[in-house]
Amino acid sequence: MSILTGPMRFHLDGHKELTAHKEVLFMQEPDDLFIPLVNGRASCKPLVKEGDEVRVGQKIGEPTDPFWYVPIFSPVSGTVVGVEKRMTAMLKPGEHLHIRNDHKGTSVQPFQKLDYEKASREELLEFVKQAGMAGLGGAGFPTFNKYTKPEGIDLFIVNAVECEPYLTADYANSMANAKLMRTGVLALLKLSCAPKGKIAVKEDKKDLIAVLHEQFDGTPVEVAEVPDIYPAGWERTLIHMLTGKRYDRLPAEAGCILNNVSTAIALGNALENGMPITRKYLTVSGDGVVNPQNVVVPVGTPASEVVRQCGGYKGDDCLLIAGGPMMGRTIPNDQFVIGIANNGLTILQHREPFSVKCLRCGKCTETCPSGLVPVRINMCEQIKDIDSLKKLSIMDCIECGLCTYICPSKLDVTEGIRRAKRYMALVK
Amino acid sequence: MKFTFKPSPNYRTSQSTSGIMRDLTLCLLAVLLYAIIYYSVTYGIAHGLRAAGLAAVSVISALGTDAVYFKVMKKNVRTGILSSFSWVTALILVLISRIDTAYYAMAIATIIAVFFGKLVFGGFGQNIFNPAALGAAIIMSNFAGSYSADFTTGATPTVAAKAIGWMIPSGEFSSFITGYGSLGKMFLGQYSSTIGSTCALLILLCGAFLIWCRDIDWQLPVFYIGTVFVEALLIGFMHGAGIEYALFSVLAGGVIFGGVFMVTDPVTTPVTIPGRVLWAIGAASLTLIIRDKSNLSDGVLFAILLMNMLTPAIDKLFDGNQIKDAVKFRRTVLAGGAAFAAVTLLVGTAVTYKAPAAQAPAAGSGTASAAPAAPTFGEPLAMSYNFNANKTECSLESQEGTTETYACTAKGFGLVTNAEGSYSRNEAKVRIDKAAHRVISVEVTNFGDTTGVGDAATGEEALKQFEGKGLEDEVSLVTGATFTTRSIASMVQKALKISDGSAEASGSAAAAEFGDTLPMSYNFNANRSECTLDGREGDTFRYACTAKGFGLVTNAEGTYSNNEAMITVDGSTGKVVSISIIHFGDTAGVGDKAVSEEALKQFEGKTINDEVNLVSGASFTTRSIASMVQAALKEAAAEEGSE
Repeated sequence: MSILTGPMRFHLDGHKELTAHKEVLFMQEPDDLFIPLVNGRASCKPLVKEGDEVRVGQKIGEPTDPFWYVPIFSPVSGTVVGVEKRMTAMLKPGEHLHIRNDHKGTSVQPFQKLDYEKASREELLEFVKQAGMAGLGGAGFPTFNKYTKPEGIDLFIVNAVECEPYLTADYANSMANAKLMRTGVLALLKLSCAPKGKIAVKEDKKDLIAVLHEQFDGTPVEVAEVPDIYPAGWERTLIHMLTGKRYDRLPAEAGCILNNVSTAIALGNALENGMPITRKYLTVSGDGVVNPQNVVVPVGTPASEVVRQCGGYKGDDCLLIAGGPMMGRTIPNDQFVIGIANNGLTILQHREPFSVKCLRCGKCTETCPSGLVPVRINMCEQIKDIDSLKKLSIMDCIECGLCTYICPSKLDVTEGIRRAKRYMALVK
Repeated sequence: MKFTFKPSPNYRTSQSTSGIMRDLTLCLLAVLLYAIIYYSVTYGIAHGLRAAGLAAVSVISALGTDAVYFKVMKKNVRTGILSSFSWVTALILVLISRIDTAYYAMAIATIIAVFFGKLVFGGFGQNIFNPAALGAAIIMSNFAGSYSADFTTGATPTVAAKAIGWMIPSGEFSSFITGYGSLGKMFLGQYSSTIGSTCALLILLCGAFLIWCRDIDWQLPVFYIGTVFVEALLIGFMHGAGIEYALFSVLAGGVIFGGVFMVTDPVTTPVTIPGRVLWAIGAASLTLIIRDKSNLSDGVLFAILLMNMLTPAIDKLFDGNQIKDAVKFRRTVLAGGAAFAAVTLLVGTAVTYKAPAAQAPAAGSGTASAAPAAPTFGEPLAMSYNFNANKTECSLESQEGTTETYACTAKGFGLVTNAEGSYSRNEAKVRIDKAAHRVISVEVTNFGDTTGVGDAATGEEALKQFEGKGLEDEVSLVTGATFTTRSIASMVQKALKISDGSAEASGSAAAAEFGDTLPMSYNFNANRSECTLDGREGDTFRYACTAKGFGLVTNAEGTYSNNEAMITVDGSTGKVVSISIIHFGDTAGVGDKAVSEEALKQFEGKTINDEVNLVSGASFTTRSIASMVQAALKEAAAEEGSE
């Protein structure tokens, strides 16, 4: 921040108290689960067919793309009903493997445990790949891909910031599984070849900070407190806060590798217990749900079932958001299922804000973490000023939503930038 | 159960545009309240009510304009008004206007500001110009004559500063500033200016509050006021002025009010921070350039309006990514800011301190027994000034040889109220040398204005400046006591006029109002005046003259109106003896103001080198008559020369 730029971030009310310190609910497993065969761009072909018996942990999906390699494991034991097309949390139709739960919980160990300290880097990397580790912060990017050729990396960063409002799933997961987190973080540090690591956490989470110190003091991993601002958890903002560096495309340009803390915990679980990702910590929060709380839910559980076990909806017009309210999408029905990359359901009662015309206050410009001028992008999009749109570097927008959040005239600023992106894609 | 689809994000701050406007309204009301209290306490309750009345007129006009517009556009009137925020425009407009602005002028300016300044552009958020500044510019340029004489206040600091070239060298500063108390008093707002721009302290507190609430950003006011200070400081250094000159430059006029309430208008300023910084530097520079070298005494309004026009260009200049283009943007701001500053300082080199026209008379009069504080002389005041508002009356009291003594009375400072009887009166004895048309002495016999303020103009030293003066001379306004000076000067004028016969002793109400001066040597070609000798007695010539009148608006012969007059000229002295109108061809009820006995009388005794005054509202007819007089004088001179 200098005199000529705004803060490029903003403190917003996280409403985290709704769920942070409540007991975590281990959900009753539903009778029917629908395991997405597509996670982001990683798709799988099923290894089982209709009528097959499956057990907890059994590998049921083999990736089709060696780059987007995230194999799928069964979260429950039961019978395969078949492959069905359902809408995903990405608002697109996708294939799901329908499994009828027998509630017996018989399990199988899909792979052997591994001592990351003794294993070689290559063995560890292969383990990460086969265990189906993926970025659990929301992207679902295959974890092993980040570590194939770590060159010139001098800082490994664990992202435990969780800046999205309402969400406390990472926090609850970290508090509950500190030991696994330690294992996972140190294993990833080894993979990154970085001399040191930092685990970034918001300065207001005092109890988590104490736990982190307990786990990491004496290791090369340092606890880094970051301010309670949005989007502190975005790669670029986080790396800028921790190192002062900006980069063009990938964090590696700034000598950094990042992973989410939940990914580290999942890896710790895989290393120590030999189990893949079958359960997710999920925050169910907002003023549209009766009992806001964190839940542990089997992958493939429909959202309707999650909400039912949290006491159901409040009000009769809701925004059901997969994720937090800033970047999560509203889904027009509750039949989509929880995938490995979901970490929250935010349910808000829908109220239309009183919107007036843009007063050009420039708050969107001051807070934009990408340094854009959203107000200009919106104005130029409305009049289809292509030359100006080319200069306004619209592709740098990550749709974090801060411009819409901050807009005092209650305009859909972020959506205007999305329109501009779509329009410019057509123009090119 | 209904699941609504809305694009992300679905989370919003509680701050709203309506909330920002509410905070702004509260701040503006606080400033208005201060103004009402200040004017009530200092000038009387009528002044305070006037400020409140103007605000009411303006706000009602603004809301009415909105209502009519949204009704005609078939939109919801309530929602339209609530999302148009025109009352903010109205309040700002009132606070940057003078307290003597006519109610109708305020109403018209508000309607124009809201309709042409805002609604025709598409309403709130779409306008190019700051609507309040636009409205104020309309008043300044179109309703300058509408100022109500009954509500005037003391000279404002900017006008006084303009009169001495907007430069106050260190040595002159303390005597200059006494007119407004001190810099401290100016900071606290105890002087007259536009209604809202006096109390710097209160305005700055409002600014701090608005910045704290994130209603306005800090860069615009800080860079605007800061640049005015720094550039004024540098210009001051060039001419031997000190830091107090820079402080005065910031405190006087609209810099602080504009800095907090006008340059921060987001609608008409750039949207990026580098853009705003450059804009603020530009506006500050233009403010000083206009002050220093234009014919306006303050430059804030027009600086804002001019920079408004640059806003779209500045926005385009900073299109890009503020992180990736940071270095480029910083260079652009530095280069642009340096260019603005360089031009301002260049203009600043041409600033010259003009010592007040009339210096204080020799301070040697040791007998200034009861005289209050020594007067400081400010702007010049022509003895031929139009003092109609003072309703001056004089009567001849005694006569000894050529020395006449007149007892006079005139309205003083208290001309704040219309009701006869409630204003204050000053009375004086004026002694005139009838032969020389010169004042011998002035003695104030009754002082009705504010003690401690107006009496600066009644001291021996202040009265002495009238001695030896005639109607063609000028005196100086006593700083801080301009009203009383004018009141006394009006009595001196009246006495002089009665003495030389150009006015009648008490009673005769003034019919014609005189405006700008008109030299008798003016080029009247357009009037095509012609005179023919009608008769002659010795050196006295009588001419029958004719000239085009108001109708010279059309070229076709025959369609213009003609005036005709008989003019008698003394050929030996080259002076007009008398004039009478034979035919009046201009518009009755308008032009005939210039043919009244009083209006014609001003030509008597005039030579071709003198000047007369245009009769307000009848300037064409005045010129027509003057053109005939000129023609007659020229004919007589030619006649005389040929002999």
